[in-house]
Amino acid sequence: MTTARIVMPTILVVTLILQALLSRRRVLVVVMGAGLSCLASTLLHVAPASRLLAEVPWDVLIILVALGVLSRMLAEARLFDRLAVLATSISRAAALRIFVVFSVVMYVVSGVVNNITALVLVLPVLHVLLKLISPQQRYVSWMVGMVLVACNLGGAATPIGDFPAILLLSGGRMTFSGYLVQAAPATLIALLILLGLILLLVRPARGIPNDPVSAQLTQRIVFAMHRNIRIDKRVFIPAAISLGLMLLAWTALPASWGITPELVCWLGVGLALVLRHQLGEKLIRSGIDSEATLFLLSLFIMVVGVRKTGVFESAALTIQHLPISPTLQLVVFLLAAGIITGIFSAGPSMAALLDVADSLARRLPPNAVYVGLALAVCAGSSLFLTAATSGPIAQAITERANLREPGGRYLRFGFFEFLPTGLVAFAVIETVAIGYALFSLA
Amino acid sequence: MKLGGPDLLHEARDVLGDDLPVLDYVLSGLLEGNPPPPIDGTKVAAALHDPASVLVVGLEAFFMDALVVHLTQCRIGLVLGEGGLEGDLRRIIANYEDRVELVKLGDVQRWAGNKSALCTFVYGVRERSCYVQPIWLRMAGSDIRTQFRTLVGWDVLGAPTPRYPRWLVETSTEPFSRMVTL
Repeated sequence: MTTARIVMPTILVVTLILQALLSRRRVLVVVMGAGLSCLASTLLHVAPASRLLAEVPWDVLIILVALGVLSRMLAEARLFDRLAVLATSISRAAALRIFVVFSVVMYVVSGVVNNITALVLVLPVLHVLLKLISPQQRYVSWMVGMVLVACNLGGAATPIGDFPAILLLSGGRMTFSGYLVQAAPATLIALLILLGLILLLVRPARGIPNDPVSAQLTQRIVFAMHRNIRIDKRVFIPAAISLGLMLLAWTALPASWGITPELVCWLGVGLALVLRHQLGEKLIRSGIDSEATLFLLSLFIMVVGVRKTGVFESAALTIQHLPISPTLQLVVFLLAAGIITGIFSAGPSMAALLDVADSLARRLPPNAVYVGLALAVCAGSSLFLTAATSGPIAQAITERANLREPGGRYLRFGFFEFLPTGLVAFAVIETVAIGYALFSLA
Repeated sequence: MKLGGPDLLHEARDVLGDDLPVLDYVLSGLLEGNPPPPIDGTKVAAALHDPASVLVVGLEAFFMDALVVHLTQCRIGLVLGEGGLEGDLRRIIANYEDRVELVKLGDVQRWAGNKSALCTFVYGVRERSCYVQPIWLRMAGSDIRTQFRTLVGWDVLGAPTPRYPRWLVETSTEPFSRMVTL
């Protein structure tokens, strides 16, 4: 084994552990890790830094940045405020209905826009409802936890919902419609099973008073707080048209034309920004999520460096040489993917595991491997509160909301409050991932 | 199912009335068959005399809504102080889109000028005194009030309250250039 095959993966693994431990400094940690990767790669003659940078999947970053800006535009149009009020209206401010409606709304919204934008704008409305319905700790823990899991499932449901799916769309691994047709039903089934299990076995709304007067007052308060909020059609219509055109292009344009998904996204979002050029300029200057972009760019650089040493090929070969059938090899891979994601989060694990998945996809039906992987990564993202970026953000917003029980006791939402939801969600989604893969192989 | 009615009004007054005397006053009026009159911002807008900018001090949301629709040609700022019932600032401002700016106490003097006005909501107006939100006391200090052309008080209850309005503070009506009643 060459020195490079030890040093490069070590830099990656140590960086991943450090960023998990020092979550408040995680961008700085991975940026420095990427710099060290470039240095080690150059000194150990793996590849010069320019080669590592050239092999970064820029298409994924373009899609992420562009869809992030489009999400901000939809937020500026006040779409999420209206959605949250609509969810309140449908739920009639009853604890059980709130649980179901907000989970479903977050699942649907996360399929189109990024999780963080959706969470930041919808959670405050949910918190107002929680303050008004006299909640208990277990309800808040399961409710906010389920919202996070629904975000992860929605993100995995469409090729543009979250980073792992976008990565599959790039490089031509799967087509837009191919992924959507396979992943959306699987994630929906996972969501329904999860909701059913929680509602029947955990019964999170048990003990919360179901008083029609309180429910109506709660609705009135939420409506009053949003009394003058209207969707800004001048912003919403260009964004919606642009999104519609992009969806059409992704599904209908022949691959032989060479118009790739990221080019569609670049021009589509650009069109929306040009149509509202003043807002567009503002969003381009200040609406880009530089944290997520830098984080992923750095990870990609480190992963490319490790890939250059041939470690991923060896890992793929190890799985292939396991003395079990290819079907079981895939099951082992999906289980490992889920656990690794739970520890290192979706971005790093997906970027690293995709090479192994490529190898498996040469021997097994690609959709079974890739969609199975996306679902397994989704399961891992739902395992711990720290496994996805949205988790700590939801924690911070919930803590700021200062929720209290009727007796005045402060309601927490942190790692351990989320854990029961995470464990159940991991078990259900991972089972669906494996079930989906086995069904596709049959 | 229709909800509401006198029983619930009584209960709301019994449960919340001690903590929220203004609500207690409004509920009592409803129980006696005297609902609050419709809120109309026309008179207040007229009292402000075609200002270039208006700083609204404290908040009564529905009154503010009624005022904003009449002030189409001027800048509107909102100054909210600490103490009393605190609201969700992001939520408050979102309801006025780009029409109303949240103004910090330290920035108030940027709004001063010979076509600038101050407006606040007053309660329980008597001949020489009324109750106001605490932040008004700072705004009505001689160093600030003299930098504004007009100081308008908007009497939101239209009558003195029988109980001391907790969360509010008593002040003189003298600094106001106009007092507008419902």
